[in-house]
Amino acid sequence: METLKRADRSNKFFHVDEVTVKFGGITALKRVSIEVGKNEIRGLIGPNGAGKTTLFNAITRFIPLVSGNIFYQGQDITPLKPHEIARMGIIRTFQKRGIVDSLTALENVMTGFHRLMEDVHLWDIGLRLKKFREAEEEGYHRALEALEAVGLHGVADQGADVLSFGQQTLVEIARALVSKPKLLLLDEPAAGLSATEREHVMEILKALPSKQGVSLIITDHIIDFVMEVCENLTVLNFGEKLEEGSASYIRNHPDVLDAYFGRG
Amino acid sequence: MLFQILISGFVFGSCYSIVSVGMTTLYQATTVLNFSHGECVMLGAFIFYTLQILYGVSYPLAIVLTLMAALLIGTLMERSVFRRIMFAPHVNIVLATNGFLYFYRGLARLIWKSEPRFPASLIDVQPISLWGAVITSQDIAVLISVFILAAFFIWIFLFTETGLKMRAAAQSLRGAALVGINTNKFFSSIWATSLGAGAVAGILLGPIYSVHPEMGESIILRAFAAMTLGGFGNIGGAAIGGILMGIVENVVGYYFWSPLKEIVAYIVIVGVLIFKPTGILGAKKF
Amino acid sequence: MKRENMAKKSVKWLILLAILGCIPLITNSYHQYLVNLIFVNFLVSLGLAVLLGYCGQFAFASAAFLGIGAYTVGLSMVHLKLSYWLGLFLVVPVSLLFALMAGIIGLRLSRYYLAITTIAFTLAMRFFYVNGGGLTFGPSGFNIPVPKIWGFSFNSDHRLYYILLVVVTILSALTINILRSKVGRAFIAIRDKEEAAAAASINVKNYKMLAFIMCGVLGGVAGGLYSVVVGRITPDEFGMMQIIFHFMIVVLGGLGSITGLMISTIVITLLPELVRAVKEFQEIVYGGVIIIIILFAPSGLYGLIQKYSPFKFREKLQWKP
Repeated sequence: METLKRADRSNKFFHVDEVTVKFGGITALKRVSIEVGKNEIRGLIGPNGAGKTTLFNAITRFIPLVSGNIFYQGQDITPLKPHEIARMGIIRTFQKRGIVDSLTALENVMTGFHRLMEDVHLWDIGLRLKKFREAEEEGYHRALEALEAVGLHGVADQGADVLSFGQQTLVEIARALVSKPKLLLLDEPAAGLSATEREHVMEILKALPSKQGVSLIITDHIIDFVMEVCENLTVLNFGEKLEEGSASYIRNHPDVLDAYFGRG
Repeated sequence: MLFQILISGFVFGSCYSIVSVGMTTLYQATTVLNFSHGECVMLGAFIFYTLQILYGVSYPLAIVLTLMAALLIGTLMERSVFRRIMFAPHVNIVLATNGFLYFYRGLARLIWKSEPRFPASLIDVQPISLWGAVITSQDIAVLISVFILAAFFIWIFLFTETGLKMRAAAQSLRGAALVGINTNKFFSSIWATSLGAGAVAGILLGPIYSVHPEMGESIILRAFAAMTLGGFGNIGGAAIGGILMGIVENVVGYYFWSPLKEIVAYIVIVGVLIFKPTGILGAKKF
Repeated sequence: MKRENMAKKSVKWLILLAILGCIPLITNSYHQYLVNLIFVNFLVSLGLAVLLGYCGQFAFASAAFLGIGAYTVGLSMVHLKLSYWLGLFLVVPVSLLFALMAGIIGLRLSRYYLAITTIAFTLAMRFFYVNGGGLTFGPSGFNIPVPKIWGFSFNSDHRLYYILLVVVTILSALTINILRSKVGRAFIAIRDKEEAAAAASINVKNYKMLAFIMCGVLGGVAGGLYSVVVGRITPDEFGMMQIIFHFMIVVLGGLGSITGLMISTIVITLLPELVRAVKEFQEIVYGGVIIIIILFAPSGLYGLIQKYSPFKFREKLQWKP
């Protein structure tokens, strides 16, 4: 393993510590440890079934850990629930796209703003008080901006169920952006996107650390995409960490190629 | 006296077990909780009564015909409705089973009106007396049937291909689909089996419970209590829960206060959910 | 610009209210009774719509809360000699309490626990009404005194209507306001994709409880109104058989739609009148209709309107300035 390039040397921004996950008899993750620094863009790659999405589920506490801990800015977040993880600014997307079919694209993105509307209470909403109106208006405009930013024009009021998979992907990214995340976990964001859409998303993601102080962990199968966007990569295979290093280091590493393509 | 209570409770409890196991089997294999199952039991009881009393069909033949009817109804339900809404939101599926609840109840009320009926028991022999308890021929019929049914179920579950499919589906519905188990025939047979079990319960309960269009309500409540008690989604739990429910109900009814028998089910449900939501044998989560 | 919009909206609502207020001028006593029933049914169905239609949580609670409201009002008037208004006011904390208790027990683990708990709850309440002796007046029920205020007696269907109009309008407005906000969006997110909702920092458990409480309070107040509309309450009116009406209204209207709900309430409330001749077929028809809607028009009337209307119609869960 190579020492990682990191923009910000402050360690322990985000630390997955010896995490083990089991499903029935199968060990999906075996003592996986990963450290991500502030403003870093980390890629998480590995062949199918390596445990990438399982790791996301573990980090966001959708599944229980057999052992290990997860630390965020020094705090042990292992005992928290998924919505509490999100509240702290750790936002994730889903491989099958976490889109609410019955809402419009705009409403979907506005749910991202939910995190920032915590102090708007039931009576503010019921009586349409100022606090509610201002928050809702802000959310509305932010959501529109986010949709434009990811390149979706004119679909704001369409039901999310009629959007293509690629459009749904962009909606989910827009929703993640609107929530002002500190750590963004993107599960296969390039899947289903056209070449132009992919380029566009690449630009947005690359700019996030410097523009908004966001760290990212991105997993995907489209290697070019991952290599282009991520400065460092972590490779998983059969639930264990195989290799870790800068993009160039990983790109030609024999063990990584072997894991993906097999010897021969 | 205690022995009488226990025997009686065991008999009722076995019937509850059959109902609960029928519901749980369907739930495990298809994730559908059939809220109309109580009405299916009621229909089984009514059909059996009609054949036996109104048409004078012999007891064994009536059983066979009732079972055939139940298998048919189950298959029809799956084919016409539940196959089509398999991938709809769960809310819709639950609403559909509720639709059947009212549909069957209305049908029963229309055909058979509302007075309670009492089908005859199997053999008209004298009740036997054992350790201070009176055991009627119907009680014996129930116990024998339950034994046969349990053996039958275990055999299917452990030694046949259908049983293998059921176990696979129970472990992982998606995995089962991936290995090609998601065939329509499988689902039809599961629905048919579930309704068949319900019909058996109806046949057994008829003489001791009385048959009327509203019986579905209290039956399903007891089934829910049994399932919750034994562990929701757990077939073994449903069986044990059913028997326990029967015994506890009888004990409470005799030693405390008779009307209290009605609310044993509610208390069990609330009690289990407060103190040990996963039930005795542990719940399966979907 | 915003002030103008708000003023325009208010004028629209006032006109609507004025029109509704004129209904008693053109109805006879029986028709007014039906209108009153429509208002009551709308309120309780709205509660069920919030829980079932928007939040996707299946519960057999609507009739139970209707009963709790009715009995709270009736018993407080008869035993405690409270005025109707105090009784109605009392309904809110009582329903809230019951909803909290049932919700804490039922909103666990498997989604079916809520259904089971509420069935048990409904039947247990009925057991209490029937076996409550002198407290609850048993199976034959009891009469509700006529509401009075400062000597004015609401002793006709026409007069009762105005109580209904005010209460139902206010509560509906509050509820619809709540739905057209982050709360409504959270409910639908929970219904359609619970994990995505949690990942958006939505506290799923709390929101489910909120939906349940809203269902309870709306149902309870509807029960309090129901008691005086009907004048006499008996345990049989608040059991499993009544729930099908509310289910039908919500399902026919379309899960997650207010407009559909309004239309379906009118249709379903008036249906028994049309089907009166063939009363024996009622249950079969209701059950069959539910199945048919689920099979062929799962989005109910709202879905049909969307599909076949010439103009775009969509109920948005936003508040637009």
